[in-house]
Amino acid sequence: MASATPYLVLESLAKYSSPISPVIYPHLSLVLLMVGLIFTGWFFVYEVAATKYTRQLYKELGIAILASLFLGFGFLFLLLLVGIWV
Amino acid sequence: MLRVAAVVLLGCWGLVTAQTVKQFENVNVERNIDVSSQLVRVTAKITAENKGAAAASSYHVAIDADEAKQLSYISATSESIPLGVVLDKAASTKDVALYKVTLPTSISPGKTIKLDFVYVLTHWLEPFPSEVQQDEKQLVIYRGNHYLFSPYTTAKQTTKVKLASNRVESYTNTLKPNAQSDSSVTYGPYLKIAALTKEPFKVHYENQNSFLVVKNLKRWIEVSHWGTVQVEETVDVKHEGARLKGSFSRYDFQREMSPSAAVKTFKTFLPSGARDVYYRDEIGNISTSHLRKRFDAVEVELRPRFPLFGGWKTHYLLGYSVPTTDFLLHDGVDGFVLKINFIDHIFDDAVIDNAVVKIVLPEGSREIRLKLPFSAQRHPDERHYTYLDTTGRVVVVLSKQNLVEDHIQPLEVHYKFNKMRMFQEPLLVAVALFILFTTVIIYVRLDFSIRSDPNQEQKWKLLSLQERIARSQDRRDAIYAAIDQSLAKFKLSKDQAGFEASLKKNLPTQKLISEEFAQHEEEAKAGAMNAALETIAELNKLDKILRDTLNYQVSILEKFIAGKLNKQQYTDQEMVQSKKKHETYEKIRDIICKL
Repeated sequence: MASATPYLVLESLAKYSSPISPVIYPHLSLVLLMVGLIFTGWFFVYEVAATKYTRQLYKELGIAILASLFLGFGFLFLLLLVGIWV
Repeated sequence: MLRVAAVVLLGCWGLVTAQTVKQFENVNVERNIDVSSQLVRVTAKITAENKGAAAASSYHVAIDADEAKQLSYISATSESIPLGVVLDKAASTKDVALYKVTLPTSISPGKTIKLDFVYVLTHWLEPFPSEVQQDEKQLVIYRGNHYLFSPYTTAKQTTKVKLASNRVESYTNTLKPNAQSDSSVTYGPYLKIAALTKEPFKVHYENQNSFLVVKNLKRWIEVSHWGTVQVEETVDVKHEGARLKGSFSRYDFQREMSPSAAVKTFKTFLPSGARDVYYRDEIGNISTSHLRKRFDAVEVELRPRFPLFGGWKTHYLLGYSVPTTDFLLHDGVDGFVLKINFIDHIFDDAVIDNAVVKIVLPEGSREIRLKLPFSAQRHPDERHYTYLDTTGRVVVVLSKQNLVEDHIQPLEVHYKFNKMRMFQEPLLVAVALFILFTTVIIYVRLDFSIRSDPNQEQKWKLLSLQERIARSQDRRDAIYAAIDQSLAKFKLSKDQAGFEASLKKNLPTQKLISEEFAQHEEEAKAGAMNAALETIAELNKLDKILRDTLNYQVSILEKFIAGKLNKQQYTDQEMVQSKKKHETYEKIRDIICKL
């Protein structure tokens, strides 16, 4: 039960700050989104240019994962940057 | 049965009064009643003596029933030590509310203790007249008691009423001595007053302060572990001073220089770390505002379109964000404590009729416990859904009625939160995007054409094969480059063992690539792709030349090292071979480029 756990002793606690300093959110957002967009571009160019005989699934998935990870984190920092504190 | 209960109750009350009333005597009381704002702030300095036979550990203070209804805040200290004050329900009656003050040490008979006792009443001052014109002054009546309302007898007491101005219309002048000087009225000293004596007085004076009452305060606190605590306060404000009679004249208002009870600006102090302050009312942000950074606070001054006269209302919201370092503490693992004021400063001397505080904790917070500075009502937890939420955030809902500035005290929310849950949000976006990419991957694999085009198919197959040939050739080139490099090294170091080791490493790959070429050739034959066949044949031919050249280079180098060739001969032959090799490379590159 929740009531069983004791209160924390305030004196033993440290001030909490974000794992990543909010000061670098703009740069982080810009860099991550740019890298993400490069991967996205590569992905779509590859999808359009490759024929069904030349297409390689692993390559496609690899680029897609990289693009979505970079864009995902970039988008998060963009949100934080504009004041949507998720 | 009822009668028995009544008798028992009466007995109890008798016991309590016997204990409390008889025990202490107020030796000296200095009472200060501050009515210079809309609040009534009573400060009493009491010196009490234990007249009883036993030691006492508690002292009672009394508030009469009318005042008890408007009582907002009560506290007691003894030589700056805060003391516990609780309503003694058993001892209180219909006419008297008794509060029990726990003394820091038990007082033995004959000893005295000094107590400072403060209480605040709201909605107590009565504007009289209740309606004034725009240029008229606001007058109010304060009704009080000549004596400190106490369950003990008082030996000596004086009362000073601090007013807002030196303009006093009238004040009760029945019990001597009393005096008025500047902006205060003094009653007393009065001697030997019995317990619970009421002797009302009245002061009618000018009070040009704004009687701003926050009818409803909604305080929304949202915690983000990415670095901020966001606070948004929605306030319904009403000026509860004398109502405005007649119409509002902007011309007269602008011309009037003397202070007026109408509110021109709202001045609020925010926590010192406040950033991104925003302000909005019903129709947007068409108003003047100032933001000043003070030493320990951020001052916001809002000037609405219209001044606020008596009886007028307004509604607006004020938001800001504060770094988590100011309010959030953690134990390094998963325990967090949010320590933030229950309410914060809204205006000076404001009255808050009804406050609802909602604390939004991050998604996935658990084991939430509260520590409140005073009693407040806790409502069932709510869920809040906002950006990138799945199961929703827990909202702790608290409410309290009738608050004043003295209630600006911190509350604590203890909760547990797994820090890894923070990464759920970016991963949510990443997964959504990945689904989009996967859809594209699937879509390009679907064939919606009605009939197949064998020519096109053939072309694609050829292209695919050529691409693979190019890739194989690239790898073969890389191997030759590696061998060339180790040959050059061999030439300098004359370390035959090292060169052979490098050859051993590269030759199996070379063989593998040759097999790849054989496969490509077979595929080309099967598909009757003559162009590809020609390319493969040509590439293999060139490869053979390269291999021969390489072998020859190695053999002459070995001869040179063994001393069978002199330097001149070796250099000439080597030059010829190098040239031949480079030409071959050029040819290969041409073929690959054409693919």
